[in-house]
Amino acid sequence: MRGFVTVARREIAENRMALLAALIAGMSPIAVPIVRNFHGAHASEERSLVVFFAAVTLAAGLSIALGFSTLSQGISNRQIGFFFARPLSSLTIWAGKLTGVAALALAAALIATLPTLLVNGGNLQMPFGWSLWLFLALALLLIPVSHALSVLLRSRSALIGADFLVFGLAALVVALAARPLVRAHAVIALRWGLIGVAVIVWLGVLAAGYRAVARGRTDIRAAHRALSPVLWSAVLGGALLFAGYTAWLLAATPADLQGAWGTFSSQGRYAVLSGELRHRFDYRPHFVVDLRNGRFLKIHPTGSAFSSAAEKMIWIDERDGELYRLDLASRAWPPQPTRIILSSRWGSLALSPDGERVAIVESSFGKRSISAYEVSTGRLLAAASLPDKSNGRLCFVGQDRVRVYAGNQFAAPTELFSVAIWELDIPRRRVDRVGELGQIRRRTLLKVSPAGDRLLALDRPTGAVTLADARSGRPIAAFPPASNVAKRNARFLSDGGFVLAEVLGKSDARLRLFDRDGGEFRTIALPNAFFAVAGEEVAPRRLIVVCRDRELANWTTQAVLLVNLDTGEVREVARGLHPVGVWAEWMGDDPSHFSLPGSDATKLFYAAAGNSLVYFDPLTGERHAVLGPHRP
Amino acid sequence: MTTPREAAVSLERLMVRYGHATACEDVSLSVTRGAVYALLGRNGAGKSSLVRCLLGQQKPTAGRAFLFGEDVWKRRASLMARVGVVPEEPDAPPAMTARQIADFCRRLYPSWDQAAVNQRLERFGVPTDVPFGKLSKGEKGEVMLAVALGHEPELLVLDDPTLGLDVVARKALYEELVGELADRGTTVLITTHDLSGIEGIATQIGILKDGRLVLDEDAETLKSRFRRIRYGNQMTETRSAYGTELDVFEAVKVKVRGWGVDAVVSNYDDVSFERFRQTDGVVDAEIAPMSLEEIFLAVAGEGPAEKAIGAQIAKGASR
Repeated sequence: MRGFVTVARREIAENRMALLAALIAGMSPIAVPIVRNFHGAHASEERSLVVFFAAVTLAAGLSIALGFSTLSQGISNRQIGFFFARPLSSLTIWAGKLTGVAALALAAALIATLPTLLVNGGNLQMPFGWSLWLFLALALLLIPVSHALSVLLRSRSALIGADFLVFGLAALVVALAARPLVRAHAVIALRWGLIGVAVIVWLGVLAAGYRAVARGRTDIRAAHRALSPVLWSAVLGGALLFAGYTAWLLAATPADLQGAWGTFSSQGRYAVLSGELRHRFDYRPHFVVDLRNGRFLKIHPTGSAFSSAAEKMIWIDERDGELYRLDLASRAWPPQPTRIILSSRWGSLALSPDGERVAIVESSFGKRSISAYEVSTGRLLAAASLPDKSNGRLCFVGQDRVRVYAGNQFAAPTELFSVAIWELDIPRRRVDRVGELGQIRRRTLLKVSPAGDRLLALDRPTGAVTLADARSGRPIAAFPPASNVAKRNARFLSDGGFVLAEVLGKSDARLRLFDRDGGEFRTIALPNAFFAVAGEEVAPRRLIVVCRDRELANWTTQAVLLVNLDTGEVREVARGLHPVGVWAEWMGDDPSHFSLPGSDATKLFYAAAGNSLVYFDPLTGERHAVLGPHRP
Repeated sequence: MTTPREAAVSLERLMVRYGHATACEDVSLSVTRGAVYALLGRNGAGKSSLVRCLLGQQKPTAGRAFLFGEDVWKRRASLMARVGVVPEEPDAPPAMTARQIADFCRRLYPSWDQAAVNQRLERFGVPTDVPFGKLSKGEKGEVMLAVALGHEPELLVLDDPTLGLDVVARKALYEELVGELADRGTTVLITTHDLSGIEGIATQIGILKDGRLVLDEDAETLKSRFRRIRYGNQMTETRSAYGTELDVFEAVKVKVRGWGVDAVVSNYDDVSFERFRQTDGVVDAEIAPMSLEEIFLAVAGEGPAEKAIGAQIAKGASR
């Protein structure tokens, strides 16, 4: 210890002039506000900013300069023999000298801040809330890096070619491994991975630097020979570990999903699921999953759609903007590129019921357009520009027509505006404005009836519901906010009618049943409910409703009720389940999505227990896990 | 040879290579405790590489170096507490004064005689408050010697300490060395070109030539077996061959001059010389003892090719 302190002290004394330079540099933050004629708090802020950069630059500069010279120069010209001729271990010499450099760099940085601290009355406001200590610590990390680099360069050995070859190889491995994460926008996962690599490489550099001193002693080439294997191991090891880490991240399966959410095909067999993955930070791929057998395909979509009548799906790949299709019924699931490439990589899309045509609304350079393609060939069937600059929600009406509901996505939450209704006639290759839905807000949910002729507009904040003609937007019936209705939601039924679930006051709810023209014909009471949402029909005229019987209860304890719409019978069938269709509808932008009564899609629930996705048939009570912490 | 445990210094088949160039090859030697070992060799003979290996500052390509029976590469730090070093190029930090250097070293050794260091510096007349980098070459060497003796080492290693020193500085250095030897019997290993200076002090001599230790011997024995022989070489009727008269000796160097032959032999003894004198054609043979410098020149002064040519010429001329 005595030797270590003696060597470190000597190193500081050797370069003590740096402290004087630091004191002089510390005057510049005081001078800058005077020159720029700043006063008061502004001057104090300016001084803090300048001193921050001065201190960090000083610490980094000294770390690099002294790290480059302190040991390797001595090895190179054999002057370090003075230390090796004393009873000092290699570790003491190496650590003592580097610690001396670190202490000097830190002291210089702190001395540079002293004048500003005095003038500012002890107050330093760091830019962007950065920590001066953190940046100084990072600057000091450069010392061993500079030392190692110095050994490489000073040895003038041919080995340096191999060193840079290894560095290049490692950089290539890291770049290739990082690419999928960059493309998946997994910034946090990437950041932690790179921090891990940096830590491994830095520790390797530290060890290599020590080995160079311990083995090289007064022979710079021997030092280089001792340094390189450790450095190579660290750099290549770090790169390979990073590659392994990214491979592990990318190997995520649906079984790693925690609390998955997604969209489901109308039959309910297939789903596109996403969500937080266990231990994988922000890497969130989407999985196309066959819920019956667990088969899955990992995709990176910006948008996806299932066909309502056929087992087909499409998605826009966020990495290249190309549209891919998948024949879900086929034996293998190779994603099939369609050669349809979106210029913006982002758009709304809808798939025709037979899955053969796709309609895309996208914007490019501020212009919005709608296009229809034949999926199998990528052939453009029709295209037209849309005058509205607003976002569009679109759906096929039959095979030949695409309807677009274009609202103002940038409106304030309370602002009322109109939704223009456009229709693209594919055979005629023209787009027409066919109607308008007035007085709606940005967060209004639009639902098209199964037959495509009616539209329900639900203003989520106020609970106002409008039944309108789906094509012209002409109002048929309106259910404005009522003082006795606290919450309201609406859902079409398979027969074309619809249902409103209304929460009354604080403890009661009701279901109101309407025919397709808005004529009310039955009300079913749901007592003791602070929350009620209509789910899907698990069989024709058998509706699922979820209720919460306490004001602050959440979905994990909510009751699942089975309501017979013909008799008005209400029966609790389960607790802690939430219909996936309700969630998908809340999140999704497909106005025409409708799960067929009795299909698997109506019997899929998120289960609070185990964060799993379960199949539950309220009619028979059959229940089993489809997806959860364990593989299906 | 003394075993590593008994010897102060011991080298076992030491080899040092720099790429394809060989600095030392297969060097084995041993320095007994209390001896003064003078390692001689021409520039580039590999002396400094050998000394660096000996001090654990450089790992030999092959072989091992021991100090006091311990592997110096592995146990350098603890061994250096028993060793004082005066390097060929004084390597103290240039910004430090002699006083600071002494103070720095004082903190590193278990025992330190600061008064003795101060006295030596005073005796040498070295200014103690001038940065080391600004001292003359001689002064630097004197500071290094003063510091090297500060902890009263059991072994003193001096790598060409007189290089570049003037006569006065050289004399001061040797006086200090002799004093140290007289006082404490320190083992000394010295590499030098100053053969006259070391001649009276060295008890063991080693000569490195082209990286190989061609001679390693007790100084007195060495001097007793090396002689210069000068003789005339005449034709006689009974003489059948020329150039074979020196076969009774191991001739290290043979030169044919106008008056006769001048040879250096490495295994002189009186009986052999008597027989040599009786050789047919050898006339006026006389012997002369050799100084260390002459022996060194005879052994290391010529390359092997020159020596062979010299011998050939000697034989040819005799014919």
